[in-house]
Amino acid sequence: MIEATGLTKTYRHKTAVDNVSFRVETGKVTGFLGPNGAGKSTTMRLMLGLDAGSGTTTFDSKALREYTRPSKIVGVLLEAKAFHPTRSARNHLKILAAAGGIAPSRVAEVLDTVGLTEVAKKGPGKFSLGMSQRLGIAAAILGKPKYLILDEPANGLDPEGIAWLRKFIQNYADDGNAVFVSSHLLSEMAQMADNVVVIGKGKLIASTSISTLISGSSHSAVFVRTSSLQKLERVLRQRTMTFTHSDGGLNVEGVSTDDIGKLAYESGVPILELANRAASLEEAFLELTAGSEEYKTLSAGGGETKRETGASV
Amino acid sequence: MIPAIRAEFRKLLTVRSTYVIIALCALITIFFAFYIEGFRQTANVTSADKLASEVTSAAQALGLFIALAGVLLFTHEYRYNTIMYTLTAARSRTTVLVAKIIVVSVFAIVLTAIVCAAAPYLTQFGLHAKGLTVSPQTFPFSDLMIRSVFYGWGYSMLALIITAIVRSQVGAIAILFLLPGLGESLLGLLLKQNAKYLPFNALSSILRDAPSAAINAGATLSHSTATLLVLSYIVGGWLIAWVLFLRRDAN
Repeated sequence: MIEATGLTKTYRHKTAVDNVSFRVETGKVTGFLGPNGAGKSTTMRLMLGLDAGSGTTTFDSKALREYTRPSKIVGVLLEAKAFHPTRSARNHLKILAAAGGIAPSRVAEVLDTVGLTEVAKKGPGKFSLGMSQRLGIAAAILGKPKYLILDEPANGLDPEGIAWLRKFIQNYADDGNAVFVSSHLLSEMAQMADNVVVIGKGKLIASTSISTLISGSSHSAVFVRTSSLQKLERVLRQRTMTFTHSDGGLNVEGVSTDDIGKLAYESGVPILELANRAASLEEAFLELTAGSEEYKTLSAGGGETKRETGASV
Repeated sequence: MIPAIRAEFRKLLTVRSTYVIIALCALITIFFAFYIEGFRQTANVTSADKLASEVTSAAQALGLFIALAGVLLFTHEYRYNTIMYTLTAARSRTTVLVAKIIVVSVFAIVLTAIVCAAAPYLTQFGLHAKGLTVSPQTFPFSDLMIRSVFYGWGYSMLALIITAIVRSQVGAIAILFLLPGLGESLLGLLLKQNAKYLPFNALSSILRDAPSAAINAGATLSHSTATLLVLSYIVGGWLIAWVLFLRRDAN
């Protein structure tokens, strides 16, 4: 398990990462989410000791520096284009293998894994962003590390590449490893990650499982459609339940379909449709990080849904 | 430590710039030692230290170029952000820094030794090719080689210290081109005779065969004083660079 405790990074008068603590469990993919400028990359760099700051990060209860061969403990991809442009991809990996005390034969293996064998002798300076990401992933997995820390690995990958990456990351975690991955592709993260760490303006907002994050969102609700809408609204208000109008029915928050079904039966309200409406990760993320964006655009429009809460009986 | 040294050697030997620098050193040595000082001469050599001066001249002429290999080795890490791989693969930053110092030292010593050893022979070949004769020479080979190799190594170390502190490729190269010549000359206007204590001036004193009178009069430094002074600069410089290397963000 990776355990980050009290990670803090201050630039003169600005605190980029503020006392962030979380865990990354083995056998799972942990997504790392946050708006632009939230401090995701800085947090990852702090975890690896690349930036000077306070706090500790342990990998199986030991600091990375305590391991003889750190490359065999953690693999890193923090930037896609982190290579000398004219040094061949093979030589780039051979250097990393030499530095990490890894057998040179691994170089050919990882090049094959990421599909770069044919361009291994070429300088990566002219690689596309997707190819560069693949080379970065090859570098990260070179030492067969137990932990992978990947910063936006899907950037620049085509749909096939993204699908490959998703499968690769899931398989890597399934083998008993842990993957800590940041991404802006929330739909991908929803499919890929088991847990999620959310930060905003350098502060930890959430560190939980994806399912808990989504179920805790106000966008998760039970949709109910009835021929006696006004009567149902009255009953919900009496029970102090929060609801919104949607698609000719009501979205009721914080209840289960069983609760609504039972309530409707007891109140004599005919039910035409009753369904769970889970929030998307995007909705949950946007709700959590509202107001913590470092850089944001003006609203593109769209009205707000009126939420009602019933008075106490 | 061994993996870090191995990786640094690979870095040095897998970029084009290293081979460009080696080729440049070879061409400059051949041009000046063989052609200018040998083949282009018109009279027989009567000076007894003609060939000896070729050794120190080669070191002086090529010190900057040889040092550039180390500068590029260091600054490429930051320019292309491979420093994150280097630092996460090593147990400590000190290991990385020491590995770089060792690799740059070996490169500087070997290349300086080769060009300095080749230079007098090339001059001799040039003179023979032209049919000129060389009078008996005073040629204290080991003394010349030790001083020349120390000069080449010292130049590379001072350059690497500047680079480790500055970290910018353009900045480090600009300082290297300006400081030893223009920079120390301008400081010399201020420091007068004390300018001989400046790092690159002191380094040059190691190559110079100054008369005892000049040393006694304090006009220049003796070889041993200059060597000690340069070593002090190198040790002091590395202490500063090491502390910064440990404390700074790796970007």
